[in-house]
Amino acid sequence: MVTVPRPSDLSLVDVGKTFGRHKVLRHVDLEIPAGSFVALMGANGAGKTTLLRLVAGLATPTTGAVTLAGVDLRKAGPGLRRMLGFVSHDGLLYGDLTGRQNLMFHARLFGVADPEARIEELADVLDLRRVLDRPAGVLSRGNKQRLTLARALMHGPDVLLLDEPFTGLDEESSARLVQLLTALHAEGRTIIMTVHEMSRALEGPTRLIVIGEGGIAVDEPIEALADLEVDEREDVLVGVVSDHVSRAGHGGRGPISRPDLPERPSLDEPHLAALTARPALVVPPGRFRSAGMITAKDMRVELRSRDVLMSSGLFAVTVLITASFTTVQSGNTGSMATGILWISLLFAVLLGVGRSMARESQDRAIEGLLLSPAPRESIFLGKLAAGLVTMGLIEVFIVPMFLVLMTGESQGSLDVGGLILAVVLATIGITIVATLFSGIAVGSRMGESLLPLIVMPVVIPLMIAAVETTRQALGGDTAGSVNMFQWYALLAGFDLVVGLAAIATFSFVVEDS
Amino acid sequence: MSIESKPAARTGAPVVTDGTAAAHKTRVSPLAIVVLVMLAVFAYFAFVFAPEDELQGAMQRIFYIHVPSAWICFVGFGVTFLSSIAYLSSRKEKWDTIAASSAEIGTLFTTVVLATGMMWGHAIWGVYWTWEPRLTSFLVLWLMYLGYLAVRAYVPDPARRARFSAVIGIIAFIDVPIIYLSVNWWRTLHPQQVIITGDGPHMPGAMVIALMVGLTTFSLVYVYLMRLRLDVARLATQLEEIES
Repeated sequence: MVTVPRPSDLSLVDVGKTFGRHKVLRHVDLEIPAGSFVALMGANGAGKTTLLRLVAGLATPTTGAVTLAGVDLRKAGPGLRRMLGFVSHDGLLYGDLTGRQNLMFHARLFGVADPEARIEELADVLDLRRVLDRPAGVLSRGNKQRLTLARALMHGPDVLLLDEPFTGLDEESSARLVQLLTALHAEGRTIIMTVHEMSRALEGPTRLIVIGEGGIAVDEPIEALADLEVDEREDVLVGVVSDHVSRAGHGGRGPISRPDLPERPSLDEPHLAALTARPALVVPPGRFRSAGMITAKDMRVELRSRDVLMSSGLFAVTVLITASFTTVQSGNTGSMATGILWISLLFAVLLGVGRSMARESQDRAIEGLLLSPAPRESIFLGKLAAGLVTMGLIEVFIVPMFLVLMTGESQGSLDVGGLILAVVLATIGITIVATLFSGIAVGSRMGESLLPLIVMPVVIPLMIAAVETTRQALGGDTAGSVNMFQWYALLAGFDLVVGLAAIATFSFVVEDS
Repeated sequence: MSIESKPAARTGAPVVTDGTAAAHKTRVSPLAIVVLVMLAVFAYFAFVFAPEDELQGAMQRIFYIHVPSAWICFVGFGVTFLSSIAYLSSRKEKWDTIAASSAEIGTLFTTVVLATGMMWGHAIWGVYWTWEPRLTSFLVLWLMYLGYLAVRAYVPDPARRARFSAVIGIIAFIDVPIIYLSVNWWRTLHPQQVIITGDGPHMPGAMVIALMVGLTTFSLVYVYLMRLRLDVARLATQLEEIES
């Protein structure tokens, strides 16, 4: 008989995960039927978070496969990604955006039909009203944790993954969270959460999995713990492979006695119902709409912080002013001047795009994007467009300043159209390479400082073409037999070929980030 | 207990012996003998058989090292490119090892191209360096693959390192056609293509033969170096496994 997987049946088959020489998980086989409530325990570094990240699709198994509803998560489409909600140990939030802006961004990416109403519901239940309009970066640990919960619950996921969700929460908030999770479980949602304290594992979950020595050390119904003494439970807690549970698990001495919990404020029924109900969803935004949302988010972050505009813009201005002292004094305002212009613009792009990607790695915010149904290429396109808009704003000041300071008497023969075309094509090319490689630089030990080392050699042909086209647009001689069209063709060809390659490869840069 | 390294390199599995007769014999592989013989044959063809160029004199003979080295650059970076694609498609570690090994050899031969080009340029043009597009493009290629090797050095996690360097290996190779086309796009001081033209080679037959021997020899050197490099990578992996 063929068993058809239910919509949120989870399955891990022979899953292994290795980081360098360290094998965190080996040959893990798990079946988690839809509607399960699992507590995941184990010693520090046992692999609990890695297991959750594998199930969330944020990490790729080194061996084996993780499937949701029978579909390998590596091939998860937008529909499957909307079934998952993940509360990470990191917030996956943008610190420069307010709580409301963060939630709105995620609601739109997930295709929530009425984001405003859903945010209000979540704010009420999770007691977020007071902090909703403050930047996420300044919130206390507890408030940030509640905001993270709201983000994960925004689209009403079928499978909710929580990595130490009680961290930073006070007793009242913890009690509300237990009530909420229990209600979600009663609604048939699958919940998997990592916890450190056994008491938390006893407050709602129906199944306990303990990870030890890279595998499943214990996998038993919570009821099986009823017969254990406190010290025996502690053995299980620290991930010691113990046969206590299997010995005692089916002793028939009745159901588990839940710990006596203190009286805690509870959520009222309407609130709880509103939260556990699945919000109406529309078709998630496609490639270009998602990219537009990511661009708008980046611009909102930039308008609030202004650090890219300030650092990149001021850098370019400083280079031009400093260089103009030497070029104007020496009377050399030709190729050298255009070279200086392009060096200043190249470094402005590197500073700006590097900073933008570094923001994504803060609080692992980019993982919020990877969890969303947005196609991976839309992340690249969104970041690229944001980089281009930022550079456009900088160039609006820098290029006229260059003309005034460094071109002298050649301004009369200026080909404005040619200059604009050169600036646009070369900026696109540089920003494409910088956007793609910034993900690599941020993921390396050197961080953003690796970016110039890997970007600059790739864009040197582009820089040569940019200098030539700019020089010719300023009325310079045509060098040799090479005409303007060939230089522009080189710029456009580079943009097209490298752009397509970047779109095709970007997902490999940001996966498993 | 000791681990005998020679069988490990050949079979891919370490052989543990009792340590009393751990004889480490160095066996020369047949490929190494073939490469040595071919290098001697190449030296004869390049320095004796091929006629001396009337204009450039003996210095022209550097051509027989310069061009085959350039050929190995393209082969090396081409293999890196294809292996990078294969790695991203299959996630099999062997493709990453092949890509990285080939990039190292390609970078080595790019250095040879730049060095011989500079020597040749000094003899013929009177300057060690000129910003001629093809030389410039080789310099760019060299810098790009140094960046590739830098990324490999600065990303400790092997899976992430493999993904990152595969992406760079693909993007960098896109520059190779630009180098090739640059001969036609930017006609400057550099000698134009003389072998592959529409109306046949513009060289004496003996020079073409010497060049072909050079291309064959350097190709064999590439294969030999790749084999050595892959053996080293395999041993390094085994050592890591033993240590962990």
